[in-house]
Amino acid sequence: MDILSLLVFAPLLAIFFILILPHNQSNFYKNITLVSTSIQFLLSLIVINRFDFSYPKIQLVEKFDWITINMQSLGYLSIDYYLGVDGLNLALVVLSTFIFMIGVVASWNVKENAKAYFCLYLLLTASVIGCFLALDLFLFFLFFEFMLLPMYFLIGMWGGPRREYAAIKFFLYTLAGSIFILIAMIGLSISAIEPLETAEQMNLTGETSADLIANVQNQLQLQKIPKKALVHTLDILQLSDKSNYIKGTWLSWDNETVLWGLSARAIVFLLLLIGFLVKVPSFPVHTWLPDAHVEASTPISVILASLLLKTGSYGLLRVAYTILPDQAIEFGWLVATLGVISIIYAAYNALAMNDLKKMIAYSSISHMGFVVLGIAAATAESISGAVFQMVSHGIISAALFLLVGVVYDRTHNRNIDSYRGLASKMPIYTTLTVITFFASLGLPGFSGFIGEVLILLGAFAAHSHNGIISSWFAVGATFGILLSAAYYLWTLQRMFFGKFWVKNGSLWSKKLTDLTFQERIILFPLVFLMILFGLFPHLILNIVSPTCALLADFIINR
Amino acid sequence: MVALISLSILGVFSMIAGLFNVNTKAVLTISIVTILGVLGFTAGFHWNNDYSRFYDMLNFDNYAVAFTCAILGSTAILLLFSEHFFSNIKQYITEYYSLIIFSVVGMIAMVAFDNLAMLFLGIEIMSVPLYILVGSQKKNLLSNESSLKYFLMGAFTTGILLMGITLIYGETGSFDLSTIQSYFQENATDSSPILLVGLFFLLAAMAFKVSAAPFHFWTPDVYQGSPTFITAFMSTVVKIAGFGAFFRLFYICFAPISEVWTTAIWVMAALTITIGSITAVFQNDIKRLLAYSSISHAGYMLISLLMVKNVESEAFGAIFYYVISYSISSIALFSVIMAVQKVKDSSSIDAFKGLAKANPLLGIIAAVSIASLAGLPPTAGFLAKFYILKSTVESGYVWLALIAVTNAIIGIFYYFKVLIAIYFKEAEDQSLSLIASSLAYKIVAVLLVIGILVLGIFPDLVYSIF
Amino acid sequence: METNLPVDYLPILIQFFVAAGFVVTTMVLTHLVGPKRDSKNKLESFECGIESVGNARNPFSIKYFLTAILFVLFDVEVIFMYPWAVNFRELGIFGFVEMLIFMTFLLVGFFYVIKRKALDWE
Repeated sequence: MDILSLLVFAPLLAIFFILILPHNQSNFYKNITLVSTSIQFLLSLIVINRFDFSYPKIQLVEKFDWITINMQSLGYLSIDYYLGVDGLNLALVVLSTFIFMIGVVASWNVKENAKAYFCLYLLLTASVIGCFLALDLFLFFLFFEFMLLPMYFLIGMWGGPRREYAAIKFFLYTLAGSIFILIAMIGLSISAIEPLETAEQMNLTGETSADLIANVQNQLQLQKIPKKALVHTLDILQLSDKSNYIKGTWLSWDNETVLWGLSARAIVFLLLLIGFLVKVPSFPVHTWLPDAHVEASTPISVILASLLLKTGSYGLLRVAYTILPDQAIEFGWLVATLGVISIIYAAYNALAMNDLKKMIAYSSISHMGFVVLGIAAATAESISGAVFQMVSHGIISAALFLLVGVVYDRTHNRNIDSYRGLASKMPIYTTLTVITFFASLGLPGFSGFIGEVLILLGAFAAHSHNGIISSWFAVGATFGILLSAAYYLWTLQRMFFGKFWVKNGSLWSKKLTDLTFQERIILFPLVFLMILFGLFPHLILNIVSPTCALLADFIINR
Repeated sequence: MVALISLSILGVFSMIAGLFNVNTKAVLTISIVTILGVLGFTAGFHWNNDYSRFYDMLNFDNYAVAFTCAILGSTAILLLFSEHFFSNIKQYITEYYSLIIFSVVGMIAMVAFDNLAMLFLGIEIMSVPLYILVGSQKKNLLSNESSLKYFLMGAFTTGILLMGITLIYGETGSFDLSTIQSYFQENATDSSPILLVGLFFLLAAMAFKVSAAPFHFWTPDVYQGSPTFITAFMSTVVKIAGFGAFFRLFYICFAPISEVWTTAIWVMAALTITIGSITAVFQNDIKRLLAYSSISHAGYMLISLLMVKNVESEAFGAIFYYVISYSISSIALFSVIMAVQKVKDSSSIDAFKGLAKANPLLGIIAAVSIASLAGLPPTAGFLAKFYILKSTVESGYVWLALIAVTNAIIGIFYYFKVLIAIYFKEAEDQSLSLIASSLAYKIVAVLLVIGILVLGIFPDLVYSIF
Repeated sequence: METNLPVDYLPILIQFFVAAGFVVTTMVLTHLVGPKRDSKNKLESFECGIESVGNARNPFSIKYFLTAILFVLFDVEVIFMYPWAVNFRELGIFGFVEMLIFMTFLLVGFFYVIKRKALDWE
């Protein structure tokens, strides 16, 4: 078992320990979880250490045959256990191990049914990290869908009053999305081959494996390979290679069959797009997110906003854009339109919210809209910006939801109009909130700024670079930044400044104390990172940009 | 063959044992051990060792052996859970065991037949004990009602089945599957109307046995009225046998004229899945809900009949994997239902409120088995659906795949109604914490859960045996 | 003229209609034309000239039913004896053993019935 597998499956060991520990030792559950997530964080640092920053392709590969389906006269379907890191996922993996560690500390006070809580939490860590690392579409899908189940229980069992509704809504929306991905996956599974394994079936040998691959691909184009020897694959990297597609199948590049006015490749792209946009979430399939956030407890909100949403945008890049670059150009306008609508529509919604958590949920949708826009533009800067924005939003939204949790824990009320002038009562809390709000609205010097600027630059330049989208999309998105400044500043003004007043008078003012030690140790590092990445963006960009430039090139030169 | 003989003797033995008041635990143990022994023998001796008997009326090829083993294995596991069922019934306990065993004998004949007469015999030997078992709660009105309903409808179907066999015999002059098949091959283009009528009579009769729409109306009433143990038996073991026979008959024997019946199967599968899952949404009784869910699953299994153009081993693998994964998930879920009914005399979903808190083990078993039935990864149910959908798309039935997928989402909704009750609701009284399960129960249930997960992660264990 | 058309069967159809028509006409006619003089005695059901007593649809003991079913069950098995008897020589020792097994199973069933007191009247 190599380091990446260890990273994914270490939590299972911790689950085992938690399960065998008797009930009267329930205090240790959180300790075990903390240790497990810390180990994961350390492992992810080791991965960074081993990572070669100058090499833009997949590294630290772990690949084994997993499932082989023998279809006799139709050949084989080979599904691999395939993990690896490159610029797209490394930063996200480190982000997730870090946020999961923060999340454990934030759930330090979970008493009710702690055993189940921490087991589910650990299952979630395994599946989210597995999802980021998987490079076989089947394995990716497995992790992608499996993370719904622990999340469903975490929202539904430890959530607010309408938790059942929120949990099932979350589940049905995202599951419907994954079903679209499943259909796309089935279509892909019968269209492309894995050249090396096919060569093995044909008993071909070559000097080098590159020769062998070229030989097989050549024969495939000439349709010389007997059907019985074809080894179909779901390996994302093989699926992205044009010459691996079997001539005459629906998804081959030269197929011109038209269904409902669209080519089969376009349909598959749209299926994947819908599936991933539900998870991002983007307009018009975003309505599950505010409900889920409002009902979920603070640590779960943190995980949901900063990690689960990222699996959607990551999937868009890794699966849809890598496998179907031709369609990515074709439908760039659609993706960008949805992104811009999300930015502006969600920002307006945030402006109207009185519930602080709902406001932040909508601001999340708005900021993920930037990621979608960046992906749509598909230039080197905009994709790097999108990945940077994912990481930065992961940090900022985690901090935002933790900050909401602070007042909610004290008063069990999150309405903006229930508080005024909190600055005088809770100075440290106010300072952190101000910094986080500014980071989120994109003030220069904070990480949010870098991501958004890169995305906007890329989107402006896309017009002249690859011509996917016009510059007007960037103009529209800029308007979104303005709106986010509006709702953040307005909220600051209403809640934190002015004369101290709270709705329930003396009862609440006694409860509203400043940050506890436990809250400080999770908020300070987050705020520190926002500033660090804002001032030294190359820390992330060094990892991200080579791969992103490669992907942008790949899309243009499809 | 050995399976048939030794199980018949076992059946007679446990019937006689009832006369002399032999300890029921002993009879149960002997039955389970014998069944497992027969399973081991069948798997070990007959695998890759085709074995024909009675002038080729029975043929134990790999297909038959695999299904026989599935039937025997499921029966053995179910018998281990039978404690509760028999604690309610004071009299004639071993006789009920013998009825179950006789029914299993019929099923083995059903999956190994090579002759239409044997198919008829198998179906009858399976069904007659079932009529009695369904009505085994003599004092319960619902049980009586369902027994009568099942008997009348079943008798009627038998007539249709016989009529179909007769018509086919009239045209082809044989009961023998291979003769019929070669007749079809020679006359594939101009099959006479009589033959087609016979074929569709057989189709209707088999569809009734596996409760596929539009022949499914008996299922909810019978499943709800029967004792839970028998419901579990019917929705798993009987279903395996039904599909074993259905598949053997249509996929192997009627394959040459598949153009004639694939459209019918297409429509039936779409109807079955849709009716099953949409009606299940409105159920409040868990047994009724599972009845509709089993109808919906029957639809998925029907789809595998459409793969005639594919290769045998893939279609065999797909149906067998589906049958196995469906059966172990259902058995696991039914074991939870039986445990709950031990303390609560109700099968409404409300009875399950707060189960996870009162008994976490049962909660986990229910969660995993429901996830598998709903088709979520990484359980066996997900891969079962994946294989079926994959081959549906491969064979060109894209619309059917879309219908199936849509219903899979609806499926989540009603399965999760049960999960919500188990996990998110507070218990109304303390009775659920009284559930005391024996160590054997725990071990078997946990093994089932592990089985569901292992099959989901390493499907090749079952999928590629053919 | 070896054609075999449906129209060739027309005479049969006509014959059928004539026959059915005659029956229907005479029945309807007698019903309409004939005189009716009903009385109590005339309308009473006739049973061997003895005066009828009570309702025919009386519940009777379920034991009759059980006995009847068991009779049918054990009677029908004689059907299997006839083909065996006819082919006795051809089937030889194999047939004899098979029949023996069959009879054993039947006897076990009979034994069970007796032991369970299905034939006891009280």
